[in-house]
Amino acid sequence: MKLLDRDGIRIDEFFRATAEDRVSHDRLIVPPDALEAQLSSREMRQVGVEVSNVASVEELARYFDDLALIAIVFPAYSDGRGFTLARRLRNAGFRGVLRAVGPLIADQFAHALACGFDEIEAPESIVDRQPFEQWRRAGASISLPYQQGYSRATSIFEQRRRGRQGECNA
Amino acid sequence: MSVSTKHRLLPVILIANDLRSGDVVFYADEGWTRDLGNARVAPDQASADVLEAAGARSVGQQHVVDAYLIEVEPTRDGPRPRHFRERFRTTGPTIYPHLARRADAPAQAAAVSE
Amino acid sequence: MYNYDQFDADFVRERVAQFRDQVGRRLDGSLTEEEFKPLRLQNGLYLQLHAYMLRVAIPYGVLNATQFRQLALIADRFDRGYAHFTTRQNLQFNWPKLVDVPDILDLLADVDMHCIQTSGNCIRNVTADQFAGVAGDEIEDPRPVAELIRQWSSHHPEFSFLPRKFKVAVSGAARDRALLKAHDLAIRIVRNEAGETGYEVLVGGGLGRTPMIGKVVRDFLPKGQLLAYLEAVMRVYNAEGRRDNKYKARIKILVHEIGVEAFQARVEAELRAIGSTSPGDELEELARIAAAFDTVHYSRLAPRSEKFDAACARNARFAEWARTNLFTHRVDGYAAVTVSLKPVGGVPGDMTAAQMRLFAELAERFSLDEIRVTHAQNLVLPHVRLDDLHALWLELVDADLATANVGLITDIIACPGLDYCALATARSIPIAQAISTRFADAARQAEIGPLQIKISGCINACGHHHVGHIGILGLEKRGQESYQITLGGDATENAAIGDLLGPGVSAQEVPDAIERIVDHYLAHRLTDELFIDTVRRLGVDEFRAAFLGAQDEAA
Ligand code: SF4
Repeated sequence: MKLLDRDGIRIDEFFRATAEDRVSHDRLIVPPDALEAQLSSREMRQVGVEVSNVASVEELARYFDDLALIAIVFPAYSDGRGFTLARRLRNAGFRGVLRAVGPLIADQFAHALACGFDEIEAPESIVDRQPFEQWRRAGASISLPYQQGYSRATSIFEQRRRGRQGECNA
Repeated sequence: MSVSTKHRLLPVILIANDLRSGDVVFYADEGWTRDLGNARVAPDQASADVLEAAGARSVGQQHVVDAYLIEVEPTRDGPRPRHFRERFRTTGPTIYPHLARRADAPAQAAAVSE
Repeated sequence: MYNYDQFDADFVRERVAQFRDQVGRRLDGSLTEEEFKPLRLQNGLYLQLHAYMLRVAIPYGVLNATQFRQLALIADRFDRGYAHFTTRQNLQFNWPKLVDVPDILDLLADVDMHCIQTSGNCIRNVTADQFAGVAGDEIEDPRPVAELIRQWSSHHPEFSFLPRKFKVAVSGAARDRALLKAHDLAIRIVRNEAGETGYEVLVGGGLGRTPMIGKVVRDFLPKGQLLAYLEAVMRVYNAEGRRDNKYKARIKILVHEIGVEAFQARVEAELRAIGSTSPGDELEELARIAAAFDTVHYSRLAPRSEKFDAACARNARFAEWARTNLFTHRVDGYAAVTVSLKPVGGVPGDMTAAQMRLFAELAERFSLDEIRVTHAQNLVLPHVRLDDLHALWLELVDADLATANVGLITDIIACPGLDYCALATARSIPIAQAISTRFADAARQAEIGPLQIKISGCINACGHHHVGHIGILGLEKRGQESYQITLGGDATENAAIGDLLGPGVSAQEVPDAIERIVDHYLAHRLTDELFIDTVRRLGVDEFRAAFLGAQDEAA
């Protein structure tokens, strides 16, 4: 797997572990059933959790303050549930890192970023075929989306609204 | 391709769509052709496997899409697909005679480059 | 017509550039076919039996002459000189090459058109009543709402990889001409007791393998809250719609499995999670959109036209056409004209580039530069002066576009079927041709009266066969094309799914079978009773007996 974000391919500083693992890494991603154990180990660690795309927002919300990262698994790139889960987590107030894990393609980069993801962990086979330059280009292909309230700072609806206010003030 | 696993009557030919144009093409000795009459007919399982492998290769090289084997019966005019769906694919829409596929039509005569 | 602002225009251009890039990356192998397929589908590009097919969006079925000419130009330059109108008010080109599609999209963008989301598992092109803004039974013109939804759903970051396609229809009228109840989501503009207008929202209709009639999930949604509500519905569907079986993935199955109340509760919970919205912003945007539509400049005319009446008296063929193809306009002195694309023995919904160019000219000359596409695969010239009707008709006669059969037995809806469609199990167009040839006689059609036949070439039901008064579904049986016939479907506000009459019949037997049904109706109808009403009164069983009995005799 390869990790990438807005700026390019990155080294993954998180290490995947289970409840029993006594690892020395200070950044861990664990499965949900290991979360309690790792969070209560009281070591100075950044802990993330990897969940399926049907995970419960309420249950995760209990850990928001302690969680550095939530990784959402995409079983296939055509399965868009992960986008909705990301969006719900952001709506519920999660401010840590959101990672999409699975066979996403470059053309979904914009969707993922807009729904609140910060980074993508995709199979090497895809990133080799679609080097970062393609992700960057696809991510920037629509400069202004219509939808208001997604991660982008602004939208067409918002720009028009400002335009109208400008008219009023003038 | 799911088609490859199901029981098939021989002989078969390999059919696909050209990636760039979308045209229906058949695998022939010298590569892909739009002329059904030139399609290479596989009479036995071994040569059907060879055809199928050629299709997979060609898909991998972005020459064609959706390559799969279809059952044919040999006729005097060349192979004829057994299933009506594939027959329509080789003849074109049945509703507009002027749009029917003709292998000798100049626009369609050239073999697809491999 | 809605006129794009710079934001709309830039968006469509960027979408074209994006697709050009995607095609390039498909050709160089960066994208596999599996990866490319959803991307091309979201731009309306299919790979069909013989070639690629490009579906152009005609948002809520409205376009002008300039756009129509551009479509004709594309048909000539990149296709084979014709195009096909679909049951979702779109247009299809049957022979484009993949490598030409980016250039075609640029030509479309030149006239504010695109192919965005005419396919794929996303929110599809929004459809509407073809008489929007024209009909007298309308509370409010639904087009601004349809346009708002078009924009909001375009390239949606969250809802572009749904379990399955999602079709939306909008109407502002009392009568349902937009097949609202067969849509994943439908919006009807209604007025509440306080006299305010708002939206009735229906969810979970759909045809296909498991046909279902849409259910009301909100009987009055105040204006300004629509996009938040849609977002909530889509989020529930995206998260919970089934993904294990493509035939169970539409929202109708989710609503059916959990029940309407549970579905409503989930949507309301989601609305609470979305939190505060700003209805004022939505209302302002809706007003901006409404203002961006062309103002139609009607003349002050008398409600009756002597010229028209005289022409009717003089020319029986013209009078016949006027009787079947006109729709009453809310403005005095005007009529909306439905132009049938169902000539006897012709291909339903097809038009040549030459006809399209002529039609564009007629729209300019006679219809204030406006054209509509109907879900029944016909065209509408929405604003024709009664005084001009005869002159228009003469032009239509010359172009082979004056078939007087709207709503009659030869005005058949037929999907492309196995003549084009890769999913088809049987042909549909030749069946339509055979039936319309059988019933070609105008006097006989008039005697039979309104009767809708709808034909699909597979279970996906693009030809709406479930809601045809007579529905025909093409299947494969023992290596042959075989046709199942249903009876009693209804595509109006009384939406109903037809009942199967019996075992499938062969292609050759279909016209006889239809004739037996029609004869039974003619023999048993009460004075002035419509076909569908006789079917309802007598019940499908009685027709079934006639259908099967005669079939036994024939065997
Ligand atoms: S109903 Fe079936 S055959 Fe007809 S257009 Fe739809 S998918 Fe194709």
